Amino acid sequence: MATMERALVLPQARSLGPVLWTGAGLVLILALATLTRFLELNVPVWLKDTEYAGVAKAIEFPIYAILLGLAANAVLHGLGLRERMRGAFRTEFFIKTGLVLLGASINLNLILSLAGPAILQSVILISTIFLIAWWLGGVFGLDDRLRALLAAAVSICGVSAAIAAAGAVHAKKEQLAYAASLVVIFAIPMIFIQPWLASVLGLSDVVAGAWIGGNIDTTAAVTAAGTIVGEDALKVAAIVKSTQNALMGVVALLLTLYFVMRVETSAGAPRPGLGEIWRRFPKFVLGFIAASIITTWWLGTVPADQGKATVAIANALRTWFFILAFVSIGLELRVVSVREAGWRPLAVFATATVANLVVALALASILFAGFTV
Amino acid sequence: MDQDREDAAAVDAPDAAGDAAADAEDGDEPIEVAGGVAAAGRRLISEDWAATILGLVLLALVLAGVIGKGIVP
Repeated sequence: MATMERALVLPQARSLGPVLWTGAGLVLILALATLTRFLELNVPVWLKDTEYAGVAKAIEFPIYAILLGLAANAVLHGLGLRERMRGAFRTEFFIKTGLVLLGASINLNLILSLAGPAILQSVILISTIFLIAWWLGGVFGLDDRLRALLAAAVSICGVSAAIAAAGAVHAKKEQLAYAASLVVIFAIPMIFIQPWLASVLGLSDVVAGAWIGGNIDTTAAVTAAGTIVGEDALKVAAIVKSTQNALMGVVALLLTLYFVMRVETSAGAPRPGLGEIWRRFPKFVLGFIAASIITTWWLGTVPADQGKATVAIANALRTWFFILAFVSIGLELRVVSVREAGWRPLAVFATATVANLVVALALASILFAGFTV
Repeated sequence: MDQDREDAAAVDAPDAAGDAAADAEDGDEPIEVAGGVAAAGRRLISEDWAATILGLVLLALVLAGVIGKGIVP
């Protein structure tokens, strides 16, 4: 059935340019985002007097957005259109824009007070989990490049880190595709599991946010899980994850140095410089901090009511970008390269993820225990 | 980073990285994707800057009152 439909659709599809397909993809994402908003607002009303009222009220917009994205993914895949529209599925762009806007609702003092524990947590967590994943990769006999990709992805910030590591170690195309797929496949369930575990364990919102920010690999998934727990958890998770993102350049530089000096030694090969750190530095972190500085200053110059109403508009904009990102998560999911790569890298990634979960929980409980938002 | 070596690496961005998989998946003609890891890195960096600038511009418009309550649903 799907093949017949594709046979009908594809000749027409090929006649349209990539720009038109990207435009069509954007329209689709906007439509799904609007539907997400509609469901979020109306499902609790529809089910108000039923036994599902509590569940309907508890379901946050990330859940609708991801499920709609996954459903659209399956339909587009069946029609053979997903790859044509791929240019519109910009999870990273949407989530980073949303995070810059999130900075507007976070007082600069909160960022400053959480910066110390966030940096400490990130350094310990990245070092520990990277080395565990690297060691596990050796135990399971993985290629050094794939070890580096998986270790970077699971310990830092998912796909972005995998790309940075791929550049540093000259990984193969299939290895990056595999690492990127693993990151998303593990991140999506964690969006739902970790908030539930935080609730079961009775964690405060601050500790839950620090745990989520420290453990979940992709920034978009961190944001989704933080949103499910609550606004305070989201703020802490965003600060912790941004700190991890900021350290990506350092890890990329160290990986490059290691591979140049120990793995791919060749006479006269140029050494990477410190400029590599800046090149890999996620610039949205600067936007996030700038937004906090600007808004913290601005709020001191206007009446409280006006300030609150204005920040609420920025928050509404932020929510729309988050929804676009969460819809894109569902649309971007692929499983083919995972099936092809076999069980050993999967076992390494899964084991490292469990270790990350445990170590991140311990660090969040210790370092963020006394904080309030 | 050593540009020559970087260009030599046959690695695409995660979305581009899925292309080979997607080709097999769809049984479709290969989709040409230009660039290796260097292109992927550049795209990520430019996307990073674009998101930063857009976010700050939107915030400025909100604080200036250009984007008001009625505009954002």
